[in-house]
Amino acid sequence: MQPRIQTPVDPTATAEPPVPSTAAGRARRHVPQWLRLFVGTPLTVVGIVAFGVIALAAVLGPILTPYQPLDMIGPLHSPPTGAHLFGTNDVGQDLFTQAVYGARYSLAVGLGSGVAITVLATILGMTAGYVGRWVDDVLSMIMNVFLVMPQLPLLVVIAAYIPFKGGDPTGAAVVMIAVITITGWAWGARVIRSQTLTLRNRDFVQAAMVAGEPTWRIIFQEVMPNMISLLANTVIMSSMGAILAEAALDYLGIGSINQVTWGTMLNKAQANSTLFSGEWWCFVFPGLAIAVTAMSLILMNYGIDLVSNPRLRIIKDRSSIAGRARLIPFMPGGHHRPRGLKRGSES
Amino acid sequence: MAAVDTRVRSRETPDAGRPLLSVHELTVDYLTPRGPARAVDHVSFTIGPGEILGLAGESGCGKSTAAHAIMRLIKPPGRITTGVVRFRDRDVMLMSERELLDFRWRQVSIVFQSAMNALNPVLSIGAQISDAIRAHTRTSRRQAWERATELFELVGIDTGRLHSFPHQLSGGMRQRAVIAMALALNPDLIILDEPTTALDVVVQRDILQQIEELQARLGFSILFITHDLSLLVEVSTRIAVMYAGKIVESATARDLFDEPLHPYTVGLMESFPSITGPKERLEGIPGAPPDLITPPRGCRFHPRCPQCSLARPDLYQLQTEVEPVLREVRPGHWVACHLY
Amino acid sequence: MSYLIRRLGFYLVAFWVAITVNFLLPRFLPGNPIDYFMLRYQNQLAANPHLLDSLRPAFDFKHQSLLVQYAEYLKNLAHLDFGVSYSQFPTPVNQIVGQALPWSLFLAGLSTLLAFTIGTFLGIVAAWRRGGTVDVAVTPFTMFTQSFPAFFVAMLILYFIGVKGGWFPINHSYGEGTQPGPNLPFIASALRHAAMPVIALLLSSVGGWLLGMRSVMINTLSEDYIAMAQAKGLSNRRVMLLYAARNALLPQVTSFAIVLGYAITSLVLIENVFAYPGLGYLMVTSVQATDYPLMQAIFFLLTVGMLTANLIADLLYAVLDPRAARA
Repeated sequence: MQPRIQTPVDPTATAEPPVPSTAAGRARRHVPQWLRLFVGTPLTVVGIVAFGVIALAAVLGPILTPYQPLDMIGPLHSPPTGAHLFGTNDVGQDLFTQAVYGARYSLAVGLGSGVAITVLATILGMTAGYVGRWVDDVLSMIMNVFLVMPQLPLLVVIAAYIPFKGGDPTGAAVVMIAVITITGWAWGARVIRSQTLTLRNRDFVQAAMVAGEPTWRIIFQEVMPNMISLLANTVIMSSMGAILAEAALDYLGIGSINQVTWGTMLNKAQANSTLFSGEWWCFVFPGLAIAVTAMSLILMNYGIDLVSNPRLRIIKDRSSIAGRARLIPFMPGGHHRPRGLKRGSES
Repeated sequence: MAAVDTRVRSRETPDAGRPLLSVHELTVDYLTPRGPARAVDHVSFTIGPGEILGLAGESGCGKSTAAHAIMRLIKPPGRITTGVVRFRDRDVMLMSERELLDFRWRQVSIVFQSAMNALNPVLSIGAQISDAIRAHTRTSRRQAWERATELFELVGIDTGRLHSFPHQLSGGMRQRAVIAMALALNPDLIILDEPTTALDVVVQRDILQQIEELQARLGFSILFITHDLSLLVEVSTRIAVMYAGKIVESATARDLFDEPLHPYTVGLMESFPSITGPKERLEGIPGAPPDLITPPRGCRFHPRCPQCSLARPDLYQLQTEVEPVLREVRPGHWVACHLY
Repeated sequence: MSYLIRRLGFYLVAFWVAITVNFLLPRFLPGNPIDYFMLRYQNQLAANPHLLDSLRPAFDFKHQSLLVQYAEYLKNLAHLDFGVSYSQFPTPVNQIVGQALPWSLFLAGLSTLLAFTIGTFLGIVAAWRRGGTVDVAVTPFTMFTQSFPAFFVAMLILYFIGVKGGWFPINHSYGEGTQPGPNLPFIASALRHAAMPVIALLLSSVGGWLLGMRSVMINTLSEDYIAMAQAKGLSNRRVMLLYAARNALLPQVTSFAIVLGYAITSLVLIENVFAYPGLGYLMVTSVQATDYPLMQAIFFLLTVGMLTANLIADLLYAVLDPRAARA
């Protein structure tokens, strides 16, 4: 073997980017990397902003509109105008007001269910994963049975038997949250269970067990901190699922039929044949509201995924090394051929 | 079988004629959010026909990466930044996709560390071997299967096992099967990436013997990658030691064993207990492998080097400021160290 | 083999739970369905007092003890006797359901097949060329389709393509002029009427398949045996299909269960938007009419359908993965 003689390397000519010593650089280093990644991704920011807008609209509700959702004060069948941003329906109710009040209900039910589902899923999932043995067998069986039932028909059947007829929004919301939680906890529970199982068999947890640490401490100090992103994931996706489920039930006329929600607005739109009479504003706005809310949740979830799964990141090649050196394609069929290279040429 | 070239090569001495494989200034980076990590740093070496080159170093020193780069198997976020890899006068880096696909396995093949992970779980072993054969030659399925049978006989596996799936074989059998697969097209060079690390010592012995026999019989060159220097000393013609992406020492196996020059090589030698002979104190190498994104200034080994201390200040200054260069300090024995 | 037996056992348990839930739920409602029924048909009852006798065992909750009712229920179930519909008295439930079932199967079958094929294929391509056109387009596309509620998508399609565009008929499952049966005008008409619902269903479910396949492929592609396959000099196509996709299909098959759940949900919703006379539409109308026999029958059918589909997916998995057969 004859390695060539290497010329001495000039220590000042390294190609690695220099460690920043500016104030901005130092400040940047204090921001944890996950936060930087989360907020630095454009899509995630869009999600956060969109959700913020809707949440704000829901919270500020009554301030944003002079009318009540059920007041029949406007012209009938009016398309969007300055006075009625989302138009009016067949009995002259202002659709913007309805949308805003609907936001309160839908978000309350959605987020409430999301949290409730996550709590239930965490308790049952972690217990199954951590305790194991027959407890796990029983809980897993229950989870799997729930998972294998079709969710909407189950919701429909349960909702059909439970009276939502009351006009009290809080009561109706609570019932709705309960129903959605009972039918929707299994998916999150199973994922949490499998993650708990994996963590439980990791060395650091085993070490804590052998050291005689009390179970509660192991769970809260060793296991849970490693599941934060999964839990955040679960809350967000469960909320999204809940919002869609609630809207679906309302749309079908089986849910909170005496409340004003986005779903019931859609139900009315269909019942009044507005689809056929060209009154698009009656269904497009509430539908978009649901879609934008759901999408903003997905985007935020996407941000969390990027943080927790490095393989999903596509790292841009911004280093200066590529400058003079030849860029060689790594796998054929994947990317471009290097420019300016002649076949058979030699350095 | 006419389609596969099964001529046995004559045993040529390592220095005769042109080298089979010549690697020059190979550099591979992994792109991370913190900056590029240089896994292989301007590495150069050659392998002659019939020669066994051992590549030694601890985990993460870049030896596997270098081997993958030779076959252009680096995937993002890895990237081959620069380097020339000549195999029989053709630059691998400049090959077109067609040429590369032909080059792979026919000229150079590779045996991965963990055979279980290297095998497709849903295909039978026989199918995976004939896959390789039929991808490069015009042979019928039957002929390819016959060749696979020959190969199994060559490595000593019951040929009935051709129909088995990977999970149905024992660890030793799987490793032999992967070796058989590597031999399928009678390549000129076989890269062995830690072929025995995942096996127990008894099976290790067997496999190594098998490899030696096959090499003696068929005459292919080997690039033998492992962290176990004691293994290389027995098996290789020449040995190169890598640290933090650079080659720090290279010599014939005999010379390296008799007189290891670089302190890292010395440390490696002393890390392995011998089964025979008097009990000796086992010395490890203190410290941890360096960060490849910002490696230590000067000699990369200096933070862990027992020969680097303030007791010798002018040497110390060299060691911490200037990167040592690979130089031939004995005939055929190269080392990159300020001590020489 | 024991794997299959265990799965079968599980499905039997799930099935039992489903039918028991179906049995217990109406009994939690305050009131007695039979009273409701009597109120509705009081005129007919005056003329024929024994009209409801056949219904009593099933719907008079105070008629006998709970256990006896359960036994009766199970017996009827075994004979697939769901009784008579409330809202379309005295048509037997089986008949009504029998008319709706084929339409749902048609819609669901067609769109699932399309969604699975297109979604899986796009997922493979997206993962293979990370950062390429398809991959980059996947994220926004699936975000849109996953977040837009299925019924909203259906409404948009109905409005813009059906009402405004006039391209496809906007309700019913086949034209009135044609005769049901294996004749070309009928089939053509059925396809035209199904076009919009199928598009809506396709859009709402393809995302799930796409994302699933893509993420599994990404993980599969980082496995050593893929690198090995490429080291062997196999063509890209072969590696992608026979080594990567073949392995990635396995988790995809198991995710079938989840996707099927969404598919049924979407089916119910979309049928209602288009007033397509399938099980979903029937279910909702039966709930609105408090037609308990019909509701129970449809729920039973949907659950059994889902369980069966899952069982088939498990069987398929055992066939595809040589490791599972041995477990």
